[in-house]
Amino acid sequence: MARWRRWISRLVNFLRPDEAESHMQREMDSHLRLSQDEFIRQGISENDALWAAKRAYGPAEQVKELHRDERSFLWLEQLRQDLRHALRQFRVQSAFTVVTILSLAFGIGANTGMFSVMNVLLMKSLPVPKADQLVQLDSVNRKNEQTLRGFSYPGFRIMKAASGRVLSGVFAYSSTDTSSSIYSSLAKSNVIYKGNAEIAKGMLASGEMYSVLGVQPFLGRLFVAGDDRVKAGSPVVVLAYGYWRARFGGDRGVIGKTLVVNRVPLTVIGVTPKQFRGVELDYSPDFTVPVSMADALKLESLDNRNAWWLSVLGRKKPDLTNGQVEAALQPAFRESVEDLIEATPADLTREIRGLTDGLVFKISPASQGAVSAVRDELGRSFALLMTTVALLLGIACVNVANLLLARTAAREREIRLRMSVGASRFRVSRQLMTEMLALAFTGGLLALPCAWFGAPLLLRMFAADSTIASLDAGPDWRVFLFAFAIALMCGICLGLVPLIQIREKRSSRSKIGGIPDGLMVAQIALALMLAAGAGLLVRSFQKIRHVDPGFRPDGVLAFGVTRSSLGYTGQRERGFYTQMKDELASLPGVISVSFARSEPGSSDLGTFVRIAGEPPSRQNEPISANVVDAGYFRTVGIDLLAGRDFDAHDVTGAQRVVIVNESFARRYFGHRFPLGLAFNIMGDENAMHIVGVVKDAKEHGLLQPAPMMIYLPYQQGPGAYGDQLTFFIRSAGDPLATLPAVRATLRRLNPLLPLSDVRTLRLALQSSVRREQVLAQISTLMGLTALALASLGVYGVIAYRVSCETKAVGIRMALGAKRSSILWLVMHRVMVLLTVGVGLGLIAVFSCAHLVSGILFGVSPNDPVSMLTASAALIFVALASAYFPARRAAGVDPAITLRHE
Amino acid sequence: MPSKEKQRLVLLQGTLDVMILRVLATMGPQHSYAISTRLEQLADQLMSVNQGNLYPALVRVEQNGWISGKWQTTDSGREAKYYSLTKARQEGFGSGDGEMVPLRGFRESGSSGRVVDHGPLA
Repeated sequence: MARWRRWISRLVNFLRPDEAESHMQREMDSHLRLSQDEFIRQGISENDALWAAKRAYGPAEQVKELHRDERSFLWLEQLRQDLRHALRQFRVQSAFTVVTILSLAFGIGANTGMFSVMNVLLMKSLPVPKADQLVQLDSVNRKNEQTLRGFSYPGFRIMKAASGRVLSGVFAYSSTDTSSSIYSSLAKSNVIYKGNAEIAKGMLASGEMYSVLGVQPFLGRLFVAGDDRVKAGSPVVVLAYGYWRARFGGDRGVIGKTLVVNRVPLTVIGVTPKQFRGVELDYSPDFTVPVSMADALKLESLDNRNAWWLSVLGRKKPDLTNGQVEAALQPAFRESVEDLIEATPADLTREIRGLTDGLVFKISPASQGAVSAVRDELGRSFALLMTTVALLLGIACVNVANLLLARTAAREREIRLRMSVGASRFRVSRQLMTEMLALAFTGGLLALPCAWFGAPLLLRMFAADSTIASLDAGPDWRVFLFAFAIALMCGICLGLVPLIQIREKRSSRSKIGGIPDGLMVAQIALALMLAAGAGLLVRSFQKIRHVDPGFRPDGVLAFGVTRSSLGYTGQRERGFYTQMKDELASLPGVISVSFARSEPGSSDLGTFVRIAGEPPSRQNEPISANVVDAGYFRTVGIDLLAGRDFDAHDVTGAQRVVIVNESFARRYFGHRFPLGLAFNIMGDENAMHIVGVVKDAKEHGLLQPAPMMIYLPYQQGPGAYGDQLTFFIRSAGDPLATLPAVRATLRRLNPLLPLSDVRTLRLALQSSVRREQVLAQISTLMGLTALALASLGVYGVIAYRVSCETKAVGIRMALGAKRSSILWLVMHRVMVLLTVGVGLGLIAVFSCAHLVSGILFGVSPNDPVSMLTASAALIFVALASAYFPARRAAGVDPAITLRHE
Repeated sequence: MPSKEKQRLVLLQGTLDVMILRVLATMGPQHSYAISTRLEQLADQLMSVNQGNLYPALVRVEQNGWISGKWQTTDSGREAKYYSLTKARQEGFGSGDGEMVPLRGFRESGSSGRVVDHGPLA
């Protein structure tokens, strides 16, 4: 009890020092007076008595110090003293203070900003209770280590039935990432409310999703397991909070109203809370529909065992490892595979067995939502950027250290004075460290708002058009902790610099060595790493820009059409498209119009081919495919190398035709002339005849080699495999200029047809390599900043050295040294240090280069051109910055400097 | 401040506290000058404690709640802070027959005035 009393007393005294001080003074005075009175009584004169009293009392200041220690907390009092002293110093040396705080704020801010992004990408969990229990159910092909995402609906039912022992719940949803997403896409659904049609993103989910996740409704109710029982038995829809506010104005009355989604009426039953944005990182659905509606929405048949279009997530029972869950569900998985094989027509059994032979069930952690390739990619990019900003912080700190050196040298007198009147070395060191920590933490505080605003900006730069851009990259406790830790680390490291400095014997040796030289070498090395990194990324992006995409994107406008929202089928549908083509082609400036299943550069349709006489091994290679209309190649600019395009003769009932690309022809037909030759595709017993060969196009993106590709004619296709069609319009001038006319024409033809995804092919191509472009841009910026900081640093160090050595220089010149030799003296040292720095930097770059080879395209991580350019730039900049103070040193007038002594 | 002296003072802390309590128990409420005079008598110059060093000890003991101080006027008209044992401490010292229950053994040894430490607190 006494201890707490004491503690509180001490705290109060710390917080109110003036009061405590005056109490103490009063008591001391009282004691002294009484003592004095006693001495006077003994016959001593008044003055002598006072003096005797004081002597008996003891050294007053010591007593006061002891008293302060007793009545309050000594270390706190000393801290307060240190801080007051520090503030005084800062006001006196305001330039130093400002520069230091800004440099540190910049460095810490950049690092914190990057960390915020990393945090939201890699660390923040889904906003549901116990997110660490969530896992994703997939399979992996042991033969090629490729993960096969997803399950079919029957497969999901099998897994669900078997999961009761290890999973407390499991649900399925339509993922954008599964291997069969081509068949099922709600991403561009036509949603009609009160007569207005708009495009929205949708998702299908099984009834247990919300309960397994633990999401409570914000309004109304969410799905229950019963919503899945009967096919199309629950025509309901749940809205996302954002969509509810944006499209329905936050109207609570929308509950119970009907939305017509892709021509199917659904009743709105509820709204999810604001923080819940779906289970996928880059897909945040506007609305969710029970999976039992899949047939009704013409997306997929729930009985189809061949379409593995659902992603499955589950919640582990507590205290189970992923391995245990995998082992427990392995048999059920095999059962679902056997079920699939059983349902496959006999002639495809071999293919399917080949595909599924090596498949093994796998569990992945999903506390952040579904496993996402995008998250991994972005994560890699940002890891690179984090390293870069860490290096920048290093350079900024070295600059501050340089400033510190000069400042401490200036304060040396003050420090020695304090030590001579009894301050321990520890006390002085603590004072200096406190100053540095105060500066570092101030810098850190300033850095926080930078990170606040910078992080969302960064995300948007990288992923402008996806859900990722709107992720909440605001700071949470991890970010604050990170900023605090970085500030602390900087403060301590920098605080050590003056300590080491006052420990070292004071000297102005011209020998190379010591802290300033070491700092400069470090700075040069770091700057070189940044400059080299920038060089690599820039060259990599340049190479990408010069990749031939295989088609001609300029001048082509593209937009998407959702077939199911048209309301036509069969012949009527084809007739409509023909009409669209004709009308659009007649618009002024339009050269040609066509349409296809997918746009060039993003093929997602695949199949297998069977060629008479080919060994089966060859026939398990996946071939990419597209379904195109006549005139497609001409419109998007893919060159026809042999044969002809599809034309009016290629209709249903006529001979089946196909156009292939050169890679396909080369692979399967070698040197044989391919025209006229025939083959089958999986699932189709009619052989197709090759009528044309086109140039290879980079159908899997610019960064991947061109795949083997076949193009099927739309007129002969059985329904074009999917709900989306893309139209292409090639115009003479700017494609966007034709957009208003296009919209008007389409509105006239079918008022309920909303255009989706309007874009130019050129822009689409550019955004496909946005990540590489942004990386190149940011790293260039950082490389330039590094060069600037390094040049400032070199200037500072040389200027400092020179100012230390003016006396020596003066003597030299008085003894006859020429100006040029003085200049050489300084520059010589700089060049030696530069060489060491550049050498160290290059060694560092070479040893770390392999880490970034995954991000580079067409450029080796040890690319000599980048290294040479970076080194040359850095050397030039550093020599230039050293030159000016060197020249000043050489211009010293010996008479002045010697007189100065 | 040289560190040896600081060490000595630290050692004295506990003892000083007890001596203050002892003095107040036997003599009743006193001001700091009177306490220090009395302590000097008891110590008989073997412990040459500066009078001022008493003051931090007083603060400590007061903060612990064992004594409390009140400003009063002395007979000679000066103001002084009189310290007295709080109720809690008084009980620890036993009933008022003068016989002390030692907190830490400290016995006056009559003429020699030696300070003897008898062991830890009860």
